Amino acid sequence: MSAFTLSAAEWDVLRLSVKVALGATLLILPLGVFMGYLLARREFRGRTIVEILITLPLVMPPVATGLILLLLLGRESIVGGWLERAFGIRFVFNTKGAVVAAAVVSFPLLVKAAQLAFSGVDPRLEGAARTLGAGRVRTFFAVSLPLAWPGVAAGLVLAFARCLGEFGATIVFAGNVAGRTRILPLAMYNAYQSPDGMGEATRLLALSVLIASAALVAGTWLDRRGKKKLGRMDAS
Amino acid sequence: MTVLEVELKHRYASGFELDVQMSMSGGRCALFGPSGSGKTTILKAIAGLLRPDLARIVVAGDVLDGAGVRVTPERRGVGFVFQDHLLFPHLTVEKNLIFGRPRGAKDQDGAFFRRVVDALDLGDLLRHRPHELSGGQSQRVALGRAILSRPRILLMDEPLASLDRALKRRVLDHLDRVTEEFDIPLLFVSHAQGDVLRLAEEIVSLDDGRVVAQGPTADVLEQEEREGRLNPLNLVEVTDVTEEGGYWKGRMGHQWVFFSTPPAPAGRPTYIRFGASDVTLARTRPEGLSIRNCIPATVERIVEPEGGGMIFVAMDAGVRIWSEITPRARDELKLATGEDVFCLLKTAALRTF
Repeated sequence: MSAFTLSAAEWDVLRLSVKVALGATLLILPLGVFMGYLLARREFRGRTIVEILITLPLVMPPVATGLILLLLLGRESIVGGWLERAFGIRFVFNTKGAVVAAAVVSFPLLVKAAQLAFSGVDPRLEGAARTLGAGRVRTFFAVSLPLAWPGVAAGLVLAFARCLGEFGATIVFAGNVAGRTRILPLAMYNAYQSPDGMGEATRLLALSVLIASAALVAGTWLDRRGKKKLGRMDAS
Repeated sequence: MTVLEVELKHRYASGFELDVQMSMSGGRCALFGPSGSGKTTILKAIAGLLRPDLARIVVAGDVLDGAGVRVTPERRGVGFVFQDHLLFPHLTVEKNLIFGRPRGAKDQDGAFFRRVVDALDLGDLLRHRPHELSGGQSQRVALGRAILSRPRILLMDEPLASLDRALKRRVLDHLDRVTEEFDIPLLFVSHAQGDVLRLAEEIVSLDDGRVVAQGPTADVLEQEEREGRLNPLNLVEVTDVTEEGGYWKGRMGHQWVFFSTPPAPAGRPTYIRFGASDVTLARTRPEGLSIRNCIPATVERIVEPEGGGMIFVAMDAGVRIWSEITPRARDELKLATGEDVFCLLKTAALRTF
């Protein structure tokens, strides 16, 4: 096999990784954007605790995050046990687990980016929308979100890229099962650990670099396009 | 009929207290007073954008704030034109304009949309984005956007502040046009007496968080004058000022006036002020008088303060001029709205600044 051709197994790894990262990004999208908006706009009781809880996965070792997830959602836990009995949902050794692990780890990146983006939107524009008859929901979707969108989109790209890099939390919480939870970094580690896997590890590495670069390019493009569409916001 | 009743108390973090009771009967009303007297706060409270400590706000008979009632901003039917316009930067002018269009009114609204666009000369701007507009254009869009939301009352924060002379005149023309054509009561904030005189039929005068006077423009200004808060009753802008034989000559509306004090430094507008009692009225152009300024005008309104006393006559001479006369003079001159008169002004009574 040539150094530049992917094997069927490597293609599977790629597909799974993108699937997990996309799934996790879509999963955190609504709540992440909402939390970002909430933190940018409102003072509420327990705000500090919420901020700490959201930021924690960003600063904790991912292995620790994985352990916490295992304690909260593992088969032996109350919540995890109930989810399995009532709905048959299982996270451990399951792609769903990989998605949850990636989601939790990338969540703070989206929230922080969204919070920053919403802070940059003049709240008086929202007031103006209200006096024009728009309720809270319409004001959010017609004014706040479109104006914050470049920043939110950048946050989504960042979160997606972080999902692709997930290792620690996934291996602890969801395990390292080929075809189910073995995403790129796990596959890379596996290949590197096996006696003659250096070639495969290198190909996966190249793939990793490629996807990450593509994500960053997409992010920059979204940001530029968004800013262009808004024109010079400060001039209005 | 009363279109607006406001009672509110609010204490700011700075300790400043606002304690206001006011009402407005329709037409155009000015919230007048120095900056920091609480004018903008009152507008925001009426629009529901600020929650005062205590408020009772009634618009066109509907209680918007009161015991156990607090209507959200979107359900108040209160239009707001902000001082910096606050157009939505991500939407075209057209999308900005229709943002507040009531739901379900789309078909019969097309004609209304065209009327507003025409009245405010917005036809050429519809495809533009807010950052491409000049200040005056953006204000017109903001005004059109508010009108298209079909408000029961329109609030404007300092619509005439920081405009140059030519622009101010155009804005005033547009305001005249839309408030009359669309018959929307207008409450606007201003700290400039000249603007208030020109635009308002009623005044609520504020000082230090309290209402010090309210009522028809002439009454309030007269009261302000009497109580020493305000000196002149007439304040008008003069343009094209030149010196002529030891006097100054300038254009006031479509007439020339002569005055003896120098104009404002170059680059700043010149205003002249004079008391209403300095304006003598005549039905025919008098001859053989020493008075140099004889300005033809049309009577717009005659205001008789409650309890008798002097009468105030508002006249249109391209600018608004107030005159103070006795009831007897009114009877002898047979003054009535729409009649033509001549305003006689002594050169020495005119002061420039």
